[in-house]
Amino acid sequence: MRNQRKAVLISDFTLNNFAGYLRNDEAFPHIEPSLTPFGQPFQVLMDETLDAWQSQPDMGIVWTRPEAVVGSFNSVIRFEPFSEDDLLGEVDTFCDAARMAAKRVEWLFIPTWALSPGRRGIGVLDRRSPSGVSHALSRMNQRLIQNLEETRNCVVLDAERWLTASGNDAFNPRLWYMAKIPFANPVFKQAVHDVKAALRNLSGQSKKIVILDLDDTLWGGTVGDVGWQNVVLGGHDPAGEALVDFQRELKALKNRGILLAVVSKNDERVALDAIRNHPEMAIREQDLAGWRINWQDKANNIVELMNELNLGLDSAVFIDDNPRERARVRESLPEVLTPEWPEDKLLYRQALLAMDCFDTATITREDRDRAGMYAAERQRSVLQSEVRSVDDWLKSLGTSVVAEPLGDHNLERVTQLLNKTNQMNLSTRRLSGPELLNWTSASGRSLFAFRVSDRFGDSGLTGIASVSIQGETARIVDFILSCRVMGRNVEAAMLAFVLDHARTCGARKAFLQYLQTERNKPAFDFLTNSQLAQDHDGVFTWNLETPYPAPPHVVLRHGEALSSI
Amino acid sequence: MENLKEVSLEIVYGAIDELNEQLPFGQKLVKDTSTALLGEGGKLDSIGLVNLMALLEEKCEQRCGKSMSLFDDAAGAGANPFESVESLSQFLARKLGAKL
Repeated sequence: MRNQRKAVLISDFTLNNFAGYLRNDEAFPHIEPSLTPFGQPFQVLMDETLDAWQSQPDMGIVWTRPEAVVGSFNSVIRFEPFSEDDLLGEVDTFCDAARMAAKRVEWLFIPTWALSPGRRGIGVLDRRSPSGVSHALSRMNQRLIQNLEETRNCVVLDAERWLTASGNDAFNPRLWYMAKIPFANPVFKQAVHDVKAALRNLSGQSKKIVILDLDDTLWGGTVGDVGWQNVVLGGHDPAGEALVDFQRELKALKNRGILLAVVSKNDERVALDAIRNHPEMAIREQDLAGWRINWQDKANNIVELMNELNLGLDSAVFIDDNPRERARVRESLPEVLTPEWPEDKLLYRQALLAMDCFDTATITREDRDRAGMYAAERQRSVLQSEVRSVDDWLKSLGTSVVAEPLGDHNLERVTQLLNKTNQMNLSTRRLSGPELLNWTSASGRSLFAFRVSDRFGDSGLTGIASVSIQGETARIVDFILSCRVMGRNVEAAMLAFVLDHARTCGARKAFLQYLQTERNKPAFDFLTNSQLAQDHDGVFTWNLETPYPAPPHVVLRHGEALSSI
Repeated sequence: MENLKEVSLEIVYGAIDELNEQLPFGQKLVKDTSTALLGEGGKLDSIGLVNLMALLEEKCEQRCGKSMSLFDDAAGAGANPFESVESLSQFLARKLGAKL
């Protein structure tokens, strides 16, 4: 993701304060906002000739008050008769305008509508009654979300959360009556925080793994001293209950595709006994992608563990109750996010829930299955150590690769993989979903996604290859494989497939341009060891008059047809 | 009671710190009594002024536990109290003195 993004701010109220916080916020990425004419949200959304759109902004933020863009809502707050059909029809009109604007930007963020200060509607039953103000607003927001669900680059943000977090400081009548600023600054700061977090996760920048200490982090006390039967966990004890809650939240993260791992100074046997046997443990051995439990330096252990899991250090969060260990990891591994951690165990869950680095736009099937995939990888490693040769091992896996074109059903996962994969990545091109669709829509371009499975399980959609053909020359633009399935001849099967596709389309020569980054040496090693000819400056070529030899022991399915390569 | 002049300057500086969080790089206010706010050499626009007043009112309330309206009083204060940090802190000291 580029470090500098341009945002156009569209509103019926004064957004200068929000623009200021957005511009000055130091979190990645930097956003340069520009304001549009005050009080003309519809005109700005619909008129592409306005100045606001000429600078080709990357994103738009459309923050409006319900009474300003849905006229019937004024009848609602005045308790005059109104038609719900009219009310929701006006929401539809607003959404139509938003969709028009969405065509001009990569992302269009739309905060939900919120009630202005102190509005109680008809009282305690306001949300329940059809004549209640909050009832009507809920319906409007629900309609807004439903209408924009299918517009991939329209992202509705939860403004209610910003107001709740700001509490009594959410409104300032002085700002409204003197400057038409309906919210106080804490709300704008919360909004900036969420917009940045949304941008990072939409671009695949979210963290992938939580590495946890054990003693006084996952449970209370030192297991090596007191034994697993006596650690503080669960039971009728505030800290014990809080630690179980903390573990449950970690497990919920795991269910969203965030990996869990342990790095702890302990005797491995003693610690694993606790994980396996303590009745109140929410996190069990099978929930962990890996662990390093020994008496070595934690920073070194983290590096080893991340190498084992084929993950970059910048995808990790390290949680440890011990400030010295945190300082050590922070100093030696600045890429690892090591948050300050509360001393009070009752605050652990709250500290975890407050972290926005795990935000996800969607949860794919691959996310839910990720921990299981790592467990299957451990089984593969065991098998590899038992069989006589690599060839025997590959044969015993029974690997199957399914190639499929880019489509609605796989766009989210393909975008996620494109933006998250660092190692087996030919060019490390980063594109959003809409950008990817736009790229593939041009003549001569195709993108294939590859699903991989073997007898140990389904690894899901883990590979991408794209090709751009001009005349008789085909360029393989993206060649990406998740580190989870590297080294099983899947990459060779993908290469054979995409070269065969280029040949079928009439190309006679193909090339791949390797673009070096700090992390993609595995891609270079694969290409160097392949049968491609290496020309110069990282250019690898193949004469398509000869089919590229397919690797043994991999079965490729293309669409419904089954062919072995 | 603490020295009102010191307290008021502390409140003004606190408000400037918060206001600077939203001002562009070249328009941030320097915490110095000679800093011009409005008029010649001043960096505040109308939105900036409203924000500064709102912040000052919040901070006065936090500090003294009493709400006060700076806008109404500033309008009738003769010379513009928002001309500089110096004039603003003097105006605030008078307001605080009258409230306490």
